[in-house]
Amino acid sequence: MANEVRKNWRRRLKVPATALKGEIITIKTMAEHIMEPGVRRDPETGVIYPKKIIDLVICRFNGKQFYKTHWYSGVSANPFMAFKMKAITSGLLEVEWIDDYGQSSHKKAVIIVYDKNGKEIIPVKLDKASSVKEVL
Amino acid sequence: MLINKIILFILISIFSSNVFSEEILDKTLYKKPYANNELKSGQYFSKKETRSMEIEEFENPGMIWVERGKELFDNKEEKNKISCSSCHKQDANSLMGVAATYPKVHKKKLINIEQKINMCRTNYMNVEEYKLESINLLSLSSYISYISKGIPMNVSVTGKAKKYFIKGKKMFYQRIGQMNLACNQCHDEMAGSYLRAERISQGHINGFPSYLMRWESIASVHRRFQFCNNQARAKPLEIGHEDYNALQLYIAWRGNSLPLESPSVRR
Repeated sequence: MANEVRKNWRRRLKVPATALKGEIITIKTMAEHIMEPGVRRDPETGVIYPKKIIDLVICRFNGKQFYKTHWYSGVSANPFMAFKMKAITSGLLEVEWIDDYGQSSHKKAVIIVYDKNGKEIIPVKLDKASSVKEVL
Repeated sequence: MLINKIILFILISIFSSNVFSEEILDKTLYKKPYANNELKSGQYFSKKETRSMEIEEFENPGMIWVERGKELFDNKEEKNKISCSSCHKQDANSLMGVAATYPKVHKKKLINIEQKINMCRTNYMNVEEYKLESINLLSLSSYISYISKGIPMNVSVTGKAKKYFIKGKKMFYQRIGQMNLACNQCHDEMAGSYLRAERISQGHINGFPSYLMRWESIASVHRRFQFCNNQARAKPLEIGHEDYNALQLYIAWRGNSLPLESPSVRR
């Protein structure tokens, strides 16, 4: 079963759609992966299954890396990872999984952060009237 | 007098345990080992961590299979542009409650839900059937079971199915393997007590197809039966075997009225 070819590997990411400023939010991720540690043998032929694991996970917020983990062969299959972050501005969260063959896959989600008055906090600073005119 | 009674009692007990005669079977054929209020699903016996993993939908790895099953359900085959959802409506609500009634007799043969999916594929869609226990088939069957989550199990064991029901009941009480074990010795008499680090469940299958951590994937009921047989050091049957379907019918009937909770997470 370990050798079965699967094409549509699934990646899952769960992020709260909206948050208040200063709130601590939980981000949950799950990747579908066999996480073959490289020591198991085929019971019939005795051939060792080649090692294949996700060894690097990178999280980016608005394109800037803020979290990175290295994984080794002890992680179980279909790894679940959760972490907490403080909501400051709204933006795009991206999680990237890279396996030891260099294959990468990613998943994105948008968080919208409001302040107390119910106004959205935009990550880009606008220079008052002048820049707005240029855009328009 | 007392001695006579004791001898009679011993004779009856020997007779009832060793010989599975038809007369005794008829009287107690539809006698359930657990009353309806005593029924406990496997979730009740599993550990706290495993249970929380199962209840939270995102943390449940079985949902990966369900999501893939939903994609496959709407996926049109290249050969003739037909998908499952072109017959069963788009929202798949027409299939609600279907999984709770399987295994079922279909044209004089007892089939389970995986075999039914393959029948649909060959008869109505004219495409190749999936290999038993393959990932696509398990994804579809776990998706279909997930649609009817929370609906009580309701398999019928009368009429045409009675023959298979008796067969399944016999298998359940049959001692097998080097260990000389029958299913009822653990799941009727010892349920709730510890077997190494795990508590023995009542042996209901309302959570199947379920995610088993030892295999790191979704497994069907038949694969679990094979594993059980291996534990008793008996020679397992093939997946999809008729006798396993009969056994599945009996075990599903034991847990009738338990809500379906697929995909469940077990050790």
